[in-house]
Amino acid sequence: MTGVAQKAAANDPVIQWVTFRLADEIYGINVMQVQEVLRVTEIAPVPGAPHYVLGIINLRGNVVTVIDTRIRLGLPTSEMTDATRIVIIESDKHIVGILVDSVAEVVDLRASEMESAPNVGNDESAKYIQGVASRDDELLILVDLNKLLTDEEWDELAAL
Amino acid sequence: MTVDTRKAVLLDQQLALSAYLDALLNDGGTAAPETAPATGTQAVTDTVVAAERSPATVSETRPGVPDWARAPFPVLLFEVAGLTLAVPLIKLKGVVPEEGDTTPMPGHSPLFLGVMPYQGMQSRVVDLARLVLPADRLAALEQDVHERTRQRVMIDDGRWALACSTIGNVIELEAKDVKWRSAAGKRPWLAGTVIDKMCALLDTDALAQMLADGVA
Repeated sequence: MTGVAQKAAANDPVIQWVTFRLADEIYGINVMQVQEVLRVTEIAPVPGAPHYVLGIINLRGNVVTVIDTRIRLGLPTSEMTDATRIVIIESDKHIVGILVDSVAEVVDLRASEMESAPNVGNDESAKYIQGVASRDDELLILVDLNKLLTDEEWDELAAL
Repeated sequence: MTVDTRKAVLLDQQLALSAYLDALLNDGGTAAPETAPATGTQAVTDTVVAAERSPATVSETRPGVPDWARAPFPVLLFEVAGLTLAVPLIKLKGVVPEEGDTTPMPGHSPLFLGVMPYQGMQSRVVDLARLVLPADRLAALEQDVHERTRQRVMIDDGRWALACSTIGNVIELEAKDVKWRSAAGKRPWLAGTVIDKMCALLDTDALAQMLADGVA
């Protein structure tokens, strides 16, 4: 690679995204924040937990809270299927599981391929959408996991 | 219904729509009709009386005439949930049908239908009816979302797609045909009204800015 090409590549880094499906859309989260992907195991409900919390699971001796991502994103709920997965993510030292309809592939995206998130209606709850990107005639909705919950909500989950 | 009765109803409806368009220019307030266009003779009468009590209309001042309207200008008519709007061709990027390629974005207001690919970019699709219709008609919108969003009018160089029901004709207007809106008011997206064509003329630059600023 020539010096010019190297400089161009450095200015347009490739980021890997783990993609998953929710309802009819594909979402992506930064691979660096994904610890593992699990089949759905027994989720123990926690009385008094926020409405978007499904419950907790035992992950090799550690208690991990599982979030219903559909509820968190304001999507209609749906029954679990064989494809449903729990994605264990780490966000700012918080570890939590997010329930998704299915996990797809890991996608490489250059920064230049990402478009900024739409800003319509100034809805605070939409701040977790980091951007969008086109891939294979489908649109990836890129999620900023750090903004999926507020600091207070993260602390509330940690206390479960 | 006799011919005379039909003519009377048509005239009443025209008067009601005219009053509604006038109310848009006057920025609603208490003079704005609660329903538009009204149905029923009594509602129409109330609407017309309310409009007649309105303050002076914009036509008496012409500060709102944009540069592109100094000469005769073509506009495209289109329908949004029963209301006819017009967009100047000089501000129109294109018109595309809805092809199931709109990706909804979670966590946004109902005004925002999602994004759609358009000429290499992701255009933001807006449910224009929610912006231009009176509040009392918004509840009825849920019943026919797909029917009234079958077309997309592209503005702001394709950055925004205004969802609408149907696309109409192109007509030519002159500045004198339009009741231009004054600078102040609650509806910066409204450039003026064209009573002869019973339509509202969009100020697409102001509309795009409103949407971008998230104040719509």
